[in-house]
Amino acid sequence: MKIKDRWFKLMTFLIMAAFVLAGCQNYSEETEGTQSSDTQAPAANENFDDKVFNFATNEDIPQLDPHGSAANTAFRAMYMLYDRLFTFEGSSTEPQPMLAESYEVSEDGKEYTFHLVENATFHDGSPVTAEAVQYSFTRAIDVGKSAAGIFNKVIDENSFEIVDDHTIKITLKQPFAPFISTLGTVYASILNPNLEENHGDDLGESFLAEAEVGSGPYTLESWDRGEKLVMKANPEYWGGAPTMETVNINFVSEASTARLMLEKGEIDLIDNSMISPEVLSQMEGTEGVEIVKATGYQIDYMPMNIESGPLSDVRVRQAIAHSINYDALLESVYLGQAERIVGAVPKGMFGFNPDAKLYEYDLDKAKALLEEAGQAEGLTLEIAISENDEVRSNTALLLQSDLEKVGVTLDIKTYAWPTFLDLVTSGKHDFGLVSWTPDYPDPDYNLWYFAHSSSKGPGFNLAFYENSEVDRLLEEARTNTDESLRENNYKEIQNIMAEEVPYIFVAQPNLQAAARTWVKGYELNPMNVWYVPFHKITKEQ
Amino acid sequence: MHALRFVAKRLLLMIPILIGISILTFAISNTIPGDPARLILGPKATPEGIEELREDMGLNDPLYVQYGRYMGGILQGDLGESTYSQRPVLNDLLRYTPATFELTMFAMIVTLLVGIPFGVISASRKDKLADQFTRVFALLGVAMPAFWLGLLFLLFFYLKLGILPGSGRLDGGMAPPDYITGMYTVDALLTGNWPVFYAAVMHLILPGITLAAVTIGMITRMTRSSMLSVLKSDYIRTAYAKGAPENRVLYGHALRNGVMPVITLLGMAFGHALGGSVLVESVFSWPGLGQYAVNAITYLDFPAVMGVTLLIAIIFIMVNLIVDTLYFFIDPRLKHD
Repeated sequence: MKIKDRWFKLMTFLIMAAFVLAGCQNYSEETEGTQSSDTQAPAANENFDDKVFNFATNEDIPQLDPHGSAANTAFRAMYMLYDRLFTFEGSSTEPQPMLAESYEVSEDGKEYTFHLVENATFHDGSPVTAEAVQYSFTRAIDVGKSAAGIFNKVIDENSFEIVDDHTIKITLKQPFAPFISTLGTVYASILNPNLEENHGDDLGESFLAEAEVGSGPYTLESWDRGEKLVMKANPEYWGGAPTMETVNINFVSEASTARLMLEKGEIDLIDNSMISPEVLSQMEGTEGVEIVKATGYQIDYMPMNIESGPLSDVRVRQAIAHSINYDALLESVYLGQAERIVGAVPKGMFGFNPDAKLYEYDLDKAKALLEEAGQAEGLTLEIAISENDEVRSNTALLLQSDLEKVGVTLDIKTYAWPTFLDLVTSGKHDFGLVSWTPDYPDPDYNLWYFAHSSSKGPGFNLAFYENSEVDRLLEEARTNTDESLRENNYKEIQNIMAEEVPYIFVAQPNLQAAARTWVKGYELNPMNVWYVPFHKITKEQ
Repeated sequence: MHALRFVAKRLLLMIPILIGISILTFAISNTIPGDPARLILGPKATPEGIEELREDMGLNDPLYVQYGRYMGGILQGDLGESTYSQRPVLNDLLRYTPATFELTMFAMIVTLLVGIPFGVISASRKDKLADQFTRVFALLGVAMPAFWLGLLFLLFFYLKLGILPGSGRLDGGMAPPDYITGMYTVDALLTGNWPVFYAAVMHLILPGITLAAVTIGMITRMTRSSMLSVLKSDYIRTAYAKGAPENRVLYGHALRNGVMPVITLLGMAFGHALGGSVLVESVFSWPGLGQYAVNAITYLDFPAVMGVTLLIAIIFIMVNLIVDTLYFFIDPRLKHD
């Protein structure tokens, strides 16, 4: 019997050893492969096809209605299926003309007259007219979902005047400085008005959920839910024939699988939000793979619920701001691929205040402030994070160990996304960790959501911050077209918020996306990361 | 007659079970904190917009009213509309279920073809090298996380050797066969579409084996222990004594009795594979029910969550019913009881 037992153990050991060795061998082969690539030309990859683009994302597209979807992953397709009056190209956040080749704006900043390009046509061949523009914005408001949230504060059904087929005048309810920028977002997509005739009963919502009526460079070819969405080039595209004839948006739920597919050349580009900074740094140097980088407008921040509890004391919040080791955080969590920021306006955007107060890592100051606030004996607080995000969970762990040093015990609570969203918007949190990317490049966007008293809770003012002076500055800047006044107001708000610390802005991470080296002409837009210009990208081996 | 009465009784029992499951699922999914309207509208929505949508979706009604409305719909064959995809849940289920069912069936076939012979060999060669080998194999199958095994398979067979495809149900650029059952292999066979059939089978191999690893282990171990006790019985010794060939004794005489507990386990194994498919589908980007269910829960898509739960419950009950009915054919004694 003993001998047999030994047999069993030996076999188990041998098989386990074989698995471990197989794993090791794969990795050493990989490194060898990279080294030898300098000396010999890489063999042509059989998966290379310069007319087909394969994109991988792990986020399934729920539906395709540009006025109804709040899912960023759907924008990638919508941007290709529809045109807008303006667009954001390359790494620029300045709106560039698209369907509107020129425009005038009145002195008071309320009347915009747009001149449309004359040769643009929808995919059914009918021309893109002023009527289509009016129809699209009216529908956006009527549908009452995400797009309405952007537009119904400035326009309603009476805002439009069709001057001629290709000229339209839009009169705003009040001046809205970032208006042109909002016209470059996916919510401002222009739809073929014949949607109304054919599928009008529910404003075409159920029809548009899986179809398109746009004028963009691609048409929707097929969509196997959870598998892939295929777009075909529109050879008649008024902006010139698209470079890629076919675009496949593949749904690959597992990041590791997507990575293998990229290495093999079956995928050309992976969704930038899909792979953690740690894995991206491991991928660097893999043969045929390149990490595309850009500064982004994304900000990762920590709202502090200032409505009740110890965090309602500004000294406690300042103490917390002093007790975080920011350099260590950027280095160990973001692996150096992020910058520290001072406020809610990302570096590089109009209105950014480089002089706002920056809290340095100073434990003595932190302890003194806590003592002043009567919290010297220590306190326990909770930080809420949503699951499945490595950066956020690592950040929370680091904050936990930092705050420990000043006597603050931090409990990390991880929730599923719906629960998390409910918790932080209804004010049941102490701290939270959130990432945020603006839809248009204007401080109005971030600051209104983060700091205006009307945005508390569901409006995404997750600190429940209220300051009448900040409200006034925000309202004044939104309805004014004087750029220097606006800039001053926004800088002033950043100063006030730096003093009152309703939020701690943890980092402005770099955008990073893993691509094949044969992909040429792809840039990550700092803000509009979901805009992948498949019609302009080329592939060269 | 006895068998028919048995089946009818079990089918009737299904009704209270399903009602119980529906009440539980409905209650649980509605107590998860979170607002579906808010998730649909995203962070840019206005509070009025959210309130309006809640009203439209009937979320402001008391829970029992919502449940009554849902069950009323089900009786008319209406599973409601998914709030996430804005399509009827029935359409979504018809699209995702065949993929999962195909994968699970494939895994079960692999399980049977490998698990039972392994168990028999293991039992008949007790404590010999072959027995040790199959026991280690079974142990590894049960012990290895499907997720990890799947990635290992991908690394080796897909990236290094390049002999098997890594993700999805068909090769890129290949059009699926005409929809008959929704299972690509079956549909391709029925329409005589050989290239698609070949591709569909190739795509099934890695996820299928990954999924089967656990169930093979379960079945092998059960077959072994059940065969060991049968092999000790007098009638087997008699069979050997009268000089029957070994294979005939093993597979003809012993297995028929030894396989009974294995069949019970098979129903459980099927349920296990159905549940395990969530992870395997994720690794191999298999567009099945598991991924759909995960999305549905993430977006608090109650109609979809209900639809998936009820469907899985029905499949599970049916499979176990079939398994239990199989006894009547394998064990003649039951027919006369």
